[in-house]
Amino acid sequence: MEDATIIKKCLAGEPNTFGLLVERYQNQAVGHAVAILGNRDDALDAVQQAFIDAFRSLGRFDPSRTFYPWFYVLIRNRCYKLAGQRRQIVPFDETELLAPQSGQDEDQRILLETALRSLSPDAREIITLKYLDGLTYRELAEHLQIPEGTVMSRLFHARKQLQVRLTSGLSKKEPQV
Amino acid sequence: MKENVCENFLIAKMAEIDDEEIQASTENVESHLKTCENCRHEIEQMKLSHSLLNAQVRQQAAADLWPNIELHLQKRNESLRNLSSFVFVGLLLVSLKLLEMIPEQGFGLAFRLIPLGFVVAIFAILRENPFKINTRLTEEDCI
Repeated sequence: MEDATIIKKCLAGEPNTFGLLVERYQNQAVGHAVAILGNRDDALDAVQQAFIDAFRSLGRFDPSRTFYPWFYVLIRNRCYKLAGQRRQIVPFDETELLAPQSGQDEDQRILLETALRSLSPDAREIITLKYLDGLTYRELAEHLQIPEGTVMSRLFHARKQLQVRLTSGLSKKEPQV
Repeated sequence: MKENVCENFLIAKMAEIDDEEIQASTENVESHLKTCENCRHEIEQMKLSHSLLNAQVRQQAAADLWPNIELHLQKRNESLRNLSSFVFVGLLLVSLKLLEMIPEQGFGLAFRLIPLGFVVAIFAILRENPFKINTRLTEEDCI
């Protein structure tokens, strides 16, 4: 069933059909929330609340749009609200951002994972959306609700931040002579 | 000032690497890179992290959120139903008061007992016994 059909049924008095949307997008949403918040528990809270926000706002959803980019804005809002409510920065838990792959240099993956975790939440967010989800600049602009020019600038600065972290990570690994 | 110029060329070059439309002309970008060693170095570094990142896959997160969400939505519907009952009773009380204000009209004792009837109706809607004190906290109350 298409997203627009599910939303139509929800609004027509079949709220349980919203469960189909939840099942369809929950894993993706939690992955995105983990990239912003850094830990799974907070990500689950934020995504759960974002789904409830989405249900309440279904009447305002434009059916000509695709559901997930609209929903992603709600996820972001909940994530950054939750991050703001935390008095201390919650350190990254065991949850990984990058999946291990066969034939891949595991050290390199761990180095990259460490570097990504050390980025600011918004830098990590834009980098993971660009590279792990393959979003174009236009799609990034839609997800992040910013102009494409700002996407390019933020991506540039996020890449620079990552480059600095990767370089310092590599220099720590190299044996000191 | 020079840093801003370099940044603009670097952003344009990265857009080209990302297969996106670039704002500056390719000739201007390449011409700048020929003259600016710092930018050439930056681009090489970014190409390395670009290819490293392109080889990565997002870790899949498994979640089952619908049971909790469904419970929350059901509770919300219940409280909305209770609220609409309150609103209805409230409107009836206001109408009653307005009727009482009509001069030279005596509606009798039965009319004065109507508000008591509304109070009983509210407790019936809430399904609460007003004479029972509930000191037991439920797990749902803590959520």
